[in-house]
Amino acid sequence: MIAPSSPQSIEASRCSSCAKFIAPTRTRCPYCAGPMQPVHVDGRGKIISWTTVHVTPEGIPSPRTVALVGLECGASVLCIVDDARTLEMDMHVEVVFADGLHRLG
Amino acid sequence: MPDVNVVSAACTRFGKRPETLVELLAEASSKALEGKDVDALFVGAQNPEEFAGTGNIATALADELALTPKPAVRVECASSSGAAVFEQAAFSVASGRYDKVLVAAGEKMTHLPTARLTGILAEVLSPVERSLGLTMASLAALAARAYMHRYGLTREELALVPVMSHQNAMNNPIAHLQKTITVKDVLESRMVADPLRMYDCSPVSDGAAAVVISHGTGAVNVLGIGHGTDHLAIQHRADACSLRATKEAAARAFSAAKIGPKDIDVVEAHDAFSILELIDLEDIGFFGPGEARRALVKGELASDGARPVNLSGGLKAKGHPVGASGLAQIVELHQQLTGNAGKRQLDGAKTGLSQSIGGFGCNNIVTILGRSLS
Repeated sequence: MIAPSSPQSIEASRCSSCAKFIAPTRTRCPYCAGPMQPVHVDGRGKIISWTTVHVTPEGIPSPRTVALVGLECGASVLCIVDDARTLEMDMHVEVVFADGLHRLG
Repeated sequence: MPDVNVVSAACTRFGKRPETLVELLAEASSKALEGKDVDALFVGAQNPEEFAGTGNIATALADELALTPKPAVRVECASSSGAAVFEQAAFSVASGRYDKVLVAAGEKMTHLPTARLTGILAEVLSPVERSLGLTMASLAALAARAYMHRYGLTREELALVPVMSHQNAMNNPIAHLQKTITVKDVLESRMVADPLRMYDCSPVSDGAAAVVISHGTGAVNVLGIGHGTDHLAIQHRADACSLRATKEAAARAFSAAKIGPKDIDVVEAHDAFSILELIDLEDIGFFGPGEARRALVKGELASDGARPVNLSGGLKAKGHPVGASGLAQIVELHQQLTGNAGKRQLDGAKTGLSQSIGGFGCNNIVTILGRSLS
């Protein structure tokens, strides 16, 4: 967990029962059904995988790059990548929340 | 899972078809029924409301086949609906409630433009995935890149999967894609979701499958069915290179059948995207993690290999009318186990396993059939 005022913080939930984190927030833990509390976690993590999507659903511009990032707290988040040119597997990145979506900072 | 047998099985030709969904379901059903009397109808489809603008299809099929007032119900769990409807029908028959039932599954999709289809198919994903504009292919692409990175699978090696599927489909008269392709064709096809290209993806198809099942022992028996789920969103799952729902389904199916992966002759795996075939085979238990790559490269998965997979052409080349595919796999197992698979017949096939994926790997079903040895 991290101070909400930290520039690296993103909103998440932590289970009061099994102590797992998830993002975005939820009230019931999908792993053990325990109650989850809102917390802030460090948005820094590593790239697990990524893809540039060329065939998108109607209404979604293409191409669009999305990454799966494993955060240091153990949760993973899917996020939009605005600049895909430098992406590498296992690369250290920082996830931010902006305009209603997680994005690579 | 004793006391249920598959009496008969049939598929329509898969591909671009002018008929309505109910007409396709009726075509497959009529071939499977051949005048047999049934007690009830079980119908599977993923999303006929949006794909075909038609609902209440269980009743519509009962009416089309002149089977009213028999009970009719629809079963749905995304792209494993065809396997799920077989499962629910089998359990109903095993319970003793019905003696003999018709199971039919189908989908009608090809009349829609690609962006619309991609959007409807993506409705099975989590709200977060949808808000990011993700698609089924893009989630498969995330799995493909993760698998390639972890196990050293190359892009050229992965292309061998669709090349084999297309080759196998040449021996299947109902297959949608009846042409062979090369690794070069795969690598030069249009990019869909990097690193996956058009030839890594199953086609959009129309089609239907049907079987009649009955209580008791017959020529081809249901040995076991297993079913498992996983978190809807991939970001909450344990492993980017494996589907827990398949592992769960396979463990339950093998436990019910009291046999293991080494006892299986015929395999139909859900290869909607090339990478899934490798992940499926590992999750079912045919290979350890990363080992399906080695088997692929050594030719073991080809029709003349030690572990032939998707002799039908698979979803990749036989076609993928989404709601039909899980039941169409079971039709293929029945044809193989009764010696009616024509040029793609696996000699001496005694057991068969099909694995069907619902959503992006989160509602999966494994079905094991066996030929009576008496």
